[in-house]
Amino acid sequence: MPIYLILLINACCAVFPWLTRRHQAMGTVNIAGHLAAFILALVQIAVFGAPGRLDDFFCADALSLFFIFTIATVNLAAALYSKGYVAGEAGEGLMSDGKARLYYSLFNVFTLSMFLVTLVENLGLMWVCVEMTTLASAFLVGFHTTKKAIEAAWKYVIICSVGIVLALIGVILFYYALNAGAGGKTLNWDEMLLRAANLDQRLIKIAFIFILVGYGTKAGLAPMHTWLPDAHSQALTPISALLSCVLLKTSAYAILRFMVITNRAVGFPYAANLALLLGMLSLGLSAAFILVQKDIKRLLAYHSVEHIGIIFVGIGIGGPVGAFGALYHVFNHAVTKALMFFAAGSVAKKYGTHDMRNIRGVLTAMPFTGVFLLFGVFALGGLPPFSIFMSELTILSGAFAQGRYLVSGLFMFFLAVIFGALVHHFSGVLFEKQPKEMAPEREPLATKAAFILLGGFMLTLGLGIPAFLAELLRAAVSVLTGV
Amino acid sequence: MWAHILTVGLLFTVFLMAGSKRIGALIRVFRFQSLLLAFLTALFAWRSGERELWAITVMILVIKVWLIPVHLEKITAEMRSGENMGLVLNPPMSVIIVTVFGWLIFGFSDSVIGGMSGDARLNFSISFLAIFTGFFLMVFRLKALAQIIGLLVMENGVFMLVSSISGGMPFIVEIAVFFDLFVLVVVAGIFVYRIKGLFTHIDVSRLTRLKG
Repeated sequence: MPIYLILLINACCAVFPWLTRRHQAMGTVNIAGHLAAFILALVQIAVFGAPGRLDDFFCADALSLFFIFTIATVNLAAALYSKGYVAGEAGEGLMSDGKARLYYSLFNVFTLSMFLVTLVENLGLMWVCVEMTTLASAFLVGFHTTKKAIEAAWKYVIICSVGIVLALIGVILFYYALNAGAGGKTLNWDEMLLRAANLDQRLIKIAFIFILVGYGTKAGLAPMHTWLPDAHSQALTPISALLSCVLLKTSAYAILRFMVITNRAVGFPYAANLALLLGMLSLGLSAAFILVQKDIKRLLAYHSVEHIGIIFVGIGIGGPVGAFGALYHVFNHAVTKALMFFAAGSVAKKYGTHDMRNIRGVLTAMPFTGVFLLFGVFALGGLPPFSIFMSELTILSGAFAQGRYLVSGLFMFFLAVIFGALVHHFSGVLFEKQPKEMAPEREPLATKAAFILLGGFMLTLGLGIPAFLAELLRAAVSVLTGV
Repeated sequence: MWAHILTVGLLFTVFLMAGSKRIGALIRVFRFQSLLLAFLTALFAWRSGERELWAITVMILVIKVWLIPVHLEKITAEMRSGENMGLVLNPPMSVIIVTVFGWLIFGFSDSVIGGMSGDARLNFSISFLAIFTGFFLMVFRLKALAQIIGLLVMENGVFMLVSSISGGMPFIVEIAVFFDLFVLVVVAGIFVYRIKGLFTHIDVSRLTRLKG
């Protein structure tokens, strides 16, 4: 029951803005709703565990529950940040109450569609929900109807829709393979998995390529990532965080579901090798773009390509250790990157530019945000004691344990390049002298709460995984690996 | 025999699309293609006696033959861009390329799904050719509207694929896909208006502000 409530809460939060005129009330109710959703997810995990199949439509095994928890956490942080953000925009006359209403409503349709992706059992309906996430978020990318925002939104809708059509071909081929080879007319994941051993191997191999390229486009895997830097940099700040931290992950989740079936049908290394290839490519390509980036939000967007690459490298290495590292990284990247997007968004607003060459002395101009930005940079770069270090180390140890020295070497090389670039870009931004005319910044309470929540996760998960989360992760890994 | 006539008609529409010079013509061919798809689905429904297939036929008629083309024609009229859709490759060249791909797809179809009957192989190949042609239109026609139509043609190809090789997906999924498609066209249509309003053109090759 509690898991259904999450959908209901999101639906109510999407309707509420139409019942009031005040953006403050909308923001407060939004926070309350997402706090309730977060607590529900937490209670479900810690007390009840994964409920499994709920009815004909919904299923929440450990893997979906893990993604629900990740989404709920980032949603709560984005809801907290949104309140101050919308108030700021309204104060400057950039967002009327009507637009704030549209914003909060679409925000919740977007989060609802992401929850649905992780909850539906039917892989055809999952496809529909993934497409729904694109359509719900398109207006949030092009919210401020500037030339750049509209260009980004157009590319986002068109490129992701083409990707998703390719994924649909993959879904159909899987369905056909099941229909022809195993006599089942179903797209339910567990039934497909049961019959996976009897599927036509050649057809499944081709179908998985369609799935990987199709959903991979939406997940931001290189070389299909071209929409991502534009959309992430032009979207409203809380939406950039949602896009990067959870939207990409829901598409990755869809790939993982098909990957499990593919592994069962054609044996282990095939799908994993493809994932490893695209993961490594994403890592290498993003490293090159991160080096030369000047726009602070585009820089973070390329980091999303990097981290989705890391996740797929972890999946590609295979085995329980790699899969554990990859899933752990899904959560760690989500909390760290959300924090970075919020900090970067506040900084860009304060300085009136996205160009890092014109942003100087953030630590003095905005001490609270600056400190979190500094920690965020170290965390994102993979330094201990932050959580990303732990998940990257897990993936790397998985690779070494399997004797994948070339993969490990390349992985470390790209991470080192990216860390260097990150320090280079942010040293000036954080430490140099601030412009003289800049007044000190006082962040709203809700914004501070968002930073503290994310920073708390970033640090505590670097020191150790809480027992309930470790157990959930292990159960999710066993769904992935079948061990 | 009717199924064969409809399939050949679908193949014909694919070439007509590649050879269309104007957006208005492309929309008319899309409508005709969707009508043929509706007939084909009705034929399957009549043969199998499945009620759900009749429902899908009605949905194709309402959404793809009526609502979407009318919506697109309205946008085209308001954009006054019906004459030109930004051809990168001229129509004869486009038809030749689509023909070559059709031949290649037919050749490869056997290696994707082995042991298909002649009819199934033909349907499978035409479906993939429609998907390819949709993609081709998106890449080689520069106006935003042509890209929307390209996407719709790709989806029509996917629909042909699903009904030809697996006799349709579960009903609920089909309905949801239709709904999604309709919302997509509405959303993309709104963005076309916004592009026109801000840039005073709808040429996507000139949307180049975001780089690097």
